[in-house]
Amino acid sequence: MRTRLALTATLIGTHAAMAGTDTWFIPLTESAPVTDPSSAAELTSPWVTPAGISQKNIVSLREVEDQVLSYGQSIGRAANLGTGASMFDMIAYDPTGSYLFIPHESQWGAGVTRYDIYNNFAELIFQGDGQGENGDFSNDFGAFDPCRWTPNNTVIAGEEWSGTGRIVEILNPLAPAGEIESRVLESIANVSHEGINFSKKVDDTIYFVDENNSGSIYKFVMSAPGDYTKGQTFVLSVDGFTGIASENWNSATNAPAARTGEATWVALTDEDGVPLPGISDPFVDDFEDLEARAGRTAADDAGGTPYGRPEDMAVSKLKNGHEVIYFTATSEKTVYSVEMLGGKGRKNRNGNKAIVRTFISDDSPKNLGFDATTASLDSPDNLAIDALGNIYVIEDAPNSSSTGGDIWFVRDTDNDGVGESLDHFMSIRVDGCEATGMIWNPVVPTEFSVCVQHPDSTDLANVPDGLGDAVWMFNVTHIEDEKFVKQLNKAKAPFGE
Amino acid sequence: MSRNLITTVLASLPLLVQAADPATAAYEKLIVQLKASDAVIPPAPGVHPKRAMSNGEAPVPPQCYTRTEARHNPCYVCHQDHIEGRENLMNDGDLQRDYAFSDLGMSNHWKNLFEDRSERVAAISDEEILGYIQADNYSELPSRLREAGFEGWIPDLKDLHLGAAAFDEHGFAKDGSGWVAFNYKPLPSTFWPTNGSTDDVMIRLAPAFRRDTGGRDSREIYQANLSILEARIKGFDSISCPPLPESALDTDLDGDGQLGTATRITRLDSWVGAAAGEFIDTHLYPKGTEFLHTVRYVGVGKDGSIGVSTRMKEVRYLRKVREANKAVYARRYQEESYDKDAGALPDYLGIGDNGIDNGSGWAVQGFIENAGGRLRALTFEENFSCMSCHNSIGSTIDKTFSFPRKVDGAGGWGYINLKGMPDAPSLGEKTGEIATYLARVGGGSEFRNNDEMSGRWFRDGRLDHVKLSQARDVYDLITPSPQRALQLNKAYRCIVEDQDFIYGKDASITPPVNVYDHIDNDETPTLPDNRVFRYNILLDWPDN
Repeated sequence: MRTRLALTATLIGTHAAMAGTDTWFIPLTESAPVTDPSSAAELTSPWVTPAGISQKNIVSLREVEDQVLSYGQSIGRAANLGTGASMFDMIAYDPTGSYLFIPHESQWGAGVTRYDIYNNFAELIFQGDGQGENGDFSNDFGAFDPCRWTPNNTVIAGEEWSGTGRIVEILNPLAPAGEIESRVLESIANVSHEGINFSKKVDDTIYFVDENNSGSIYKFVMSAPGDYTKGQTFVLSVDGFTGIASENWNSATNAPAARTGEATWVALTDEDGVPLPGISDPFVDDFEDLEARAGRTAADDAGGTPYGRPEDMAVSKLKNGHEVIYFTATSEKTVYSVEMLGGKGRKNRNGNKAIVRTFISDDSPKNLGFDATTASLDSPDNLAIDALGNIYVIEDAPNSSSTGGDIWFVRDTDNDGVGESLDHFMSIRVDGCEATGMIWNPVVPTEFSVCVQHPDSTDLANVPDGLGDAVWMFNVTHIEDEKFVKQLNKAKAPFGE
Repeated sequence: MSRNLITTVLASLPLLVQAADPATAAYEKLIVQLKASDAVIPPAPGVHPKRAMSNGEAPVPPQCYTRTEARHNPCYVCHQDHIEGRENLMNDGDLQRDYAFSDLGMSNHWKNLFEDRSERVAAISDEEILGYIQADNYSELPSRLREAGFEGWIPDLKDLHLGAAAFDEHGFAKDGSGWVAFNYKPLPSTFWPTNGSTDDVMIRLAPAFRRDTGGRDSREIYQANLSILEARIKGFDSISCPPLPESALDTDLDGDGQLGTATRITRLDSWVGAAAGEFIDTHLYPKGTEFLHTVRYVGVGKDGSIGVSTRMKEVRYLRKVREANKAVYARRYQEESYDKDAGALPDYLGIGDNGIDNGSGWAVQGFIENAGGRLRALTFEENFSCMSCHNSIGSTIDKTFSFPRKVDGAGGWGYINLKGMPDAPSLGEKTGEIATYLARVGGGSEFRNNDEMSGRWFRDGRLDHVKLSQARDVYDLITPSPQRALQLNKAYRCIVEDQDFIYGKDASITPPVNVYDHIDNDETPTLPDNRVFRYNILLDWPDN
């Protein structure tokens, strides 16, 4: 264990060079049709992919819950939630690439399963008491959507649409399950958490978003680097935004208002986390009103610019060296980039100014230079970055039609925060599911994983013979574009996310 | 090779193969197959059923294409804002005021509405249709299903084709199956007999709700739990019940401090008997609740009286397979709104012979006539259209209509009987619900194409309140003349022959005028604020 943590610390300390590449695959030309639950396609190759990409199932509810195949193993499944009982969401690798941490986005009984990849062993290491089913979240958690390995070698998970919008930190994520320790980070504002990530440029900043149709973008600047328990919270406010912060992004007032351009990080608290005058307390765990999100109210007080359901968020670096965060705005069919303009002094070195741009949207060119695709960008949800800085956009759409959801590659070869083309990368054909948690392996740069979330087969009452929620691992080593593979293999660790 | 295996293999063929067999061909082929088939299980399309659908917006019913002309409003019956305490957060009252169709939904896919059946109807004699609707197509269904290896619910209520004769005076099925009939007021206005169908509805609770703590069947416990359920669904503080011996139930149901005979239940915080510890909340059914709904032709007695026919158009079945608290429903509605905002089409999981999972706890299944009039299981798309009413409108209570509209309390147990039933107002209103509907719609059906209703209750285009006041009961108000009944039955018989239910099941003889074939969300006239109405599906019965 000590050796592993030492390696972890080494890997965390570096920063990969980020620069987008050209498209490295022949894009798809249509989305995949869904197949019957537990069809051969679902069980063997749930994604339609470009040529040369292999896919294999590495863990599933079916496997872990079979105590003959997986004796002594465990995995999150909350009671009485049908296909929503397990809800694999935004998985995280540990820096050695040996473990996957699977957050469960179930409405109650949310938890985290640790999957030991090379020993093929799954273990539920954290879960509330399940009383959320009765409306009591005092010792329960709901809808863990994000999961991140932190620079402190801990794991954080956040509540999205259920619970009270808390961030939980698992302090010793590699310890035996019975010895796991955790705490709620009351220093992080209560919002509907989805994208939450650490700055790659400075060691004192956490970015996060609020998944709501009036959701904003936040950052938390630690009082001392590495101390997640105290700091100052900011919300992003576009300077030219003339709308109403508390309204939805597309309200009559907000729809025509500017939500891109120069922006300012407006403080909600002082450096010790004390709300500033005129700003509501953003750190309230409201167990009585589970719809409430105190951070959202505080952001409204401060004029935080609303976006259409900000979901995942990724951190990278632009060609000019500035840090950039990308976030999906699901309801807007758009991914935005936010360039940090830098600052002075030890604290908050990314400064209080930024520029918001449309990185890519459904209106962007698709498959530029290749055969066209009939697919559109629908409900962009998760984001992933490969070792070379390319961004991938994962849709939350397939559960609403006979056609599967897609994963898109954003071509931004000049790395300026504005994509040149949206290239159709993969498409899922599992009935009733969405793809979640795409993440590149931090050690094997040619490998990435994606979850199948809430497929029909998670509800054993309806489809008892399927895989249920599952994680699939992909490898691009044998694609035709050998140059891209070489580039990946030469990339400086740590690799993507 | 089993049916499921065939479907699976076909569905897993490469994309190119599927592209060569487009869905447009699949549903047309299926109709041809259905016309030729006498099987109780319909043929499976050669592709995933969702890709064999003619109308991805099948949950938008024909009535949504009514030409409202900025004043005729039948929309309020379905589209309502949230009522405090209920699980229903669809909050779609704005759809009375604004169209919000998807691109696909803006086109009216219910092309049977536009079919003129005059000649075909004229070719069917009265004797022929009377003989047809008097025939029993129900009794053979269970055995046919068993022989076919059907794995879904198989009708298990004996003699249901006989209607009231299958039940005792308290609504209990005489066969001991546990089904209980109740008397309810049909929802305006498609389910009014004058618009082409009669129906009945039965409820059955899970075995624990019918037994004592020792596991023995107990009619009194069942009656108590049904009454408690009714009160909880309606949000009442108390409800009348058949006389129940409290000592036998060991429960002070009426809260008078004694174990006597209760005729009113005030203790509504838990079930009684073996189900005592089961989850209970207002406006929610417990797990295992079943509804059986038969839709029938308009029966015409020898004396010209109107009632249910022996023949069934459809046998519909709901089973609550998964219970959940209101927070779960809230999330479902939120997800649905997200999907709709994203432009996604509705999606529901087919669960084989068990029908479709509506995503909100109910399995929805049904049977419909084949071309020869024998009942068969619904196809996926036929079943899919059930989701319009049983999932995605704001006025229902836990996705149901009839039970909330039951005659309150002890007097409401028994087979449906419109005679003697008063035109109770919607809860919160003073005028009878039917009279109110006629006034708001300006006619006796959504499409204002029921000339008989117009002739009866309107004069010079205005509601004739004098005549309405002379109506003795709901029967007088919403049953057709025998002549109209026969015409409507003949019209529907044509649709049965065509087996194209996916294009609509409205029994129209000539195409209604007041219906759009296309709606433009931005351009089509909508209702002004003064023609938008709040409405409660619950009724203010004279006595509960």
